[in-house]
Amino acid sequence: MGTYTPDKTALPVGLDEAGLRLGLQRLPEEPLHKYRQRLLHEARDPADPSQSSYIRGVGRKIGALDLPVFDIELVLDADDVPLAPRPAVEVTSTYLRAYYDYDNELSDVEVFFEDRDNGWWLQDVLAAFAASAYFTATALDDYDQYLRSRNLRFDNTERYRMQFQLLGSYQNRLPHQNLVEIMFSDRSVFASEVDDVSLVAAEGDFFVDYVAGQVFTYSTAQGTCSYSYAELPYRMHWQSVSVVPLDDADLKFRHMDEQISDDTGELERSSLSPEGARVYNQVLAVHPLGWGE
Amino acid sequence: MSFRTQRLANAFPLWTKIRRDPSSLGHRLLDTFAEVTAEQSITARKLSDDPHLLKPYLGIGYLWSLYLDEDDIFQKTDTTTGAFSYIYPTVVGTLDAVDYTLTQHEDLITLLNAAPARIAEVDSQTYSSFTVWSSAAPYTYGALSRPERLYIDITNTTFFAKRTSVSDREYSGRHVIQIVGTDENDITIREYVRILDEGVYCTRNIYKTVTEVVVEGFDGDVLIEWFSNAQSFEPDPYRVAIFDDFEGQLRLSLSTQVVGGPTYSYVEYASPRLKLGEQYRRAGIELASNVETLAEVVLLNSSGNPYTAVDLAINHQTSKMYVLDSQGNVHVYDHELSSFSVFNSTDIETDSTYIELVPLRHRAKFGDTEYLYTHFARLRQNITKIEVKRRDPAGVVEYLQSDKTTWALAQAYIAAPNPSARLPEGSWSDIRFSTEYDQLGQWEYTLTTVSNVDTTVYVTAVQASSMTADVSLATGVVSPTAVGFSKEGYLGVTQGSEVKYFEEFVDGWTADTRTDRILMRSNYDSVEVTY
Repeated sequence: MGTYTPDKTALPVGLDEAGLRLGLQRLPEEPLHKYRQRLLHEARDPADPSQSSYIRGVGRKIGALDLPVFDIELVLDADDVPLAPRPAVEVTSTYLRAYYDYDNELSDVEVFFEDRDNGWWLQDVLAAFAASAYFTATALDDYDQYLRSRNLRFDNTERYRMQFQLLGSYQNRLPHQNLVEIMFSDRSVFASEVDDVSLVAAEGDFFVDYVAGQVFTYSTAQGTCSYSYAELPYRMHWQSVSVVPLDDADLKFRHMDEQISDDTGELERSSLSPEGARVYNQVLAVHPLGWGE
Repeated sequence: MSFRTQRLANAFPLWTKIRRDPSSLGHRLLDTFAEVTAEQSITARKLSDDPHLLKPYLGIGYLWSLYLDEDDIFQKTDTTTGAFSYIYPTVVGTLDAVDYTLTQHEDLITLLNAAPARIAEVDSQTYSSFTVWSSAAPYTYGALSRPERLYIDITNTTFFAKRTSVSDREYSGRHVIQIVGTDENDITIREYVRILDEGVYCTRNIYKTVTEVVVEGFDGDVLIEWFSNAQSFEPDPYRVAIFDDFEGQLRLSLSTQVVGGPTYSYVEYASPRLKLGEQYRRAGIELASNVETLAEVVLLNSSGNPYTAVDLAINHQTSKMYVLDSQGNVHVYDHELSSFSVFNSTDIETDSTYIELVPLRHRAKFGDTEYLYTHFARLRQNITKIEVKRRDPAGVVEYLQSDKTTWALAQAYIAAPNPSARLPEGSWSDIRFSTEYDQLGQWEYTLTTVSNVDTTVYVTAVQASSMTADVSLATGVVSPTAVGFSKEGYLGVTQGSEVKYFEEFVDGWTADTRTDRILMRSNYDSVEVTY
């Protein structure tokens, strides 16, 4: 007779086979339904060699998927037109900025994640949007007021759509709204852009409703269009492991300490902070920037 | 008896007894082979699903194991020269100071598919409505209380567009429901659910939100819910309803009936005869029922007692049937058709017969009264008289009396109306008589035909079937309304505005004799091994 303490033994299942094909192994202690969710994330948003894909994909490698925490929406006027003339939202390594006029860099919301009083937690982000005249933020199920704001996913609302096929119609509704710029492949149908749909009166005239994402032409449209747009409403995610590019201009607020410049006498961020030194040393250790090492 | 036995029997002509009569000796012989393939067909079905990420089951990702000490390793005993067998120990697991004696399973497959011994609540979800979308309010999209698969119930359809239809030129030639929404990762997904006919369907995808539903090719009422909320039937994808002249999807539904005082619950096995809605729906013509009933089986709990069933569900992990009763208990069945046993009567069937005995159904509903018919199948000799004898499950033998309606203990013959007719068909007119199936079990019938040259015997049987649960588990849910399985594989039971989720635990083990290891399905604080 003997008394024993059992050990947990992994048993291969079909999901493991799929996981091997997708390059994602099941993690120790990971429930199978969470593993499937991770595999589906990889299958439906496959990793590519772009910066944004890498940022989105890190969470699923480590078994901690990004949490949707806010839905950012535009405030509309009585005619359902956004109050913001050129809206944009960006999350950098140290800042969240919501621009109501991005072209002129006029922002309505600015949260500094390293500010312990007004930017440290997600509740500070929510409070900042509550004071906005142009944007609203809605907290989602996964929101927690004491999640660190600096772990908001590095991202922005600027998007680009390549070669959308236009229908042979006088009106075309594009799949996105809040357009910024648009280009057409057909120069004869889209020869002269006018300022109002009522002015579309001659061959080659066209009007673009940038807010609604609609194109009106005098002749039936043909060819394709490519356009940039602001993805609003925008869903903001929180990462348990934050990923930011090292060339982000705002990263100096974390990686550099201030010191007085000899030349100007002003405070400048020019000295590596302890965190910055640690990161750069690690980078140099695996990627020496000089030849011959 | 396996559902697949009838498929083997269907290799024979339709007029043969082996095909028509599941109580026949030949049919029961075929069942031996069908039973072997039944388990394999379930495994094959699962294997075909296995590589898919969105398969309806997740699998068993972990086992608990322990390596035996030298003193406890599996002992061998010689049986015959050069052979041995193992002696297996008794295994008792202790969890939270409670001892559980573990059941040994002969191999890993049976351990993985074993019925649960106990359940424990792991989660709950409040909800205001299960409805995500309804054709009655097509512009309203309900929120899912949690990401789940969607269950689609389609009823009251009068019209299925035909592929060749020219009256509706917008019809693309398919009957389909498109569901657009987001998955658990907030990624937009669109699933096309092919709708062959009215019925119950389930999406493969797990939805977090639903933003658009498009119905095309039919006009029925569509109800989409995020929980299998007491639907009109439950399809069993692992078994097939096979009749002697067609086969199709096995549909399980519940009913109740009072028989002699207690209320009995039945699971009805049925299948649609025609597979496409466009095959049998005609504008302006009243719709005839397209569903054939294979059997109606009384449900009993693990103690053999009846209960009032509320809802049922299929566990895709084990392919077992789970039935929820009104007291909040869940009864687990490894369900199949009940088998016909060896006849107890001493009547020996002759090689041939003139008159056959044909019951309306060989699987009658307990409590119902159903007809049996004589069939003068072979017009070879003039009939003088017949004797119809029945033996109920309790063993009481009765005879059909000459009034052709009453049964009594006294032996009786029914005289042919015109035994000296010029032709055999003039000597006998077929009759029908009835039996009230008020006992569960096998009812055996013997028809003895006396002609003017010989006496022949025909035997058959009718089953008033019942099914005893492998295990009955108490959920503690008061006034339950529905049962189903969540995307995690948890057993979900609804009450009021809440769904309670339970994890199942199997107190079982199997021996890995190669490595002297014991493999278990559940974890324990400690495990004691004794011989």
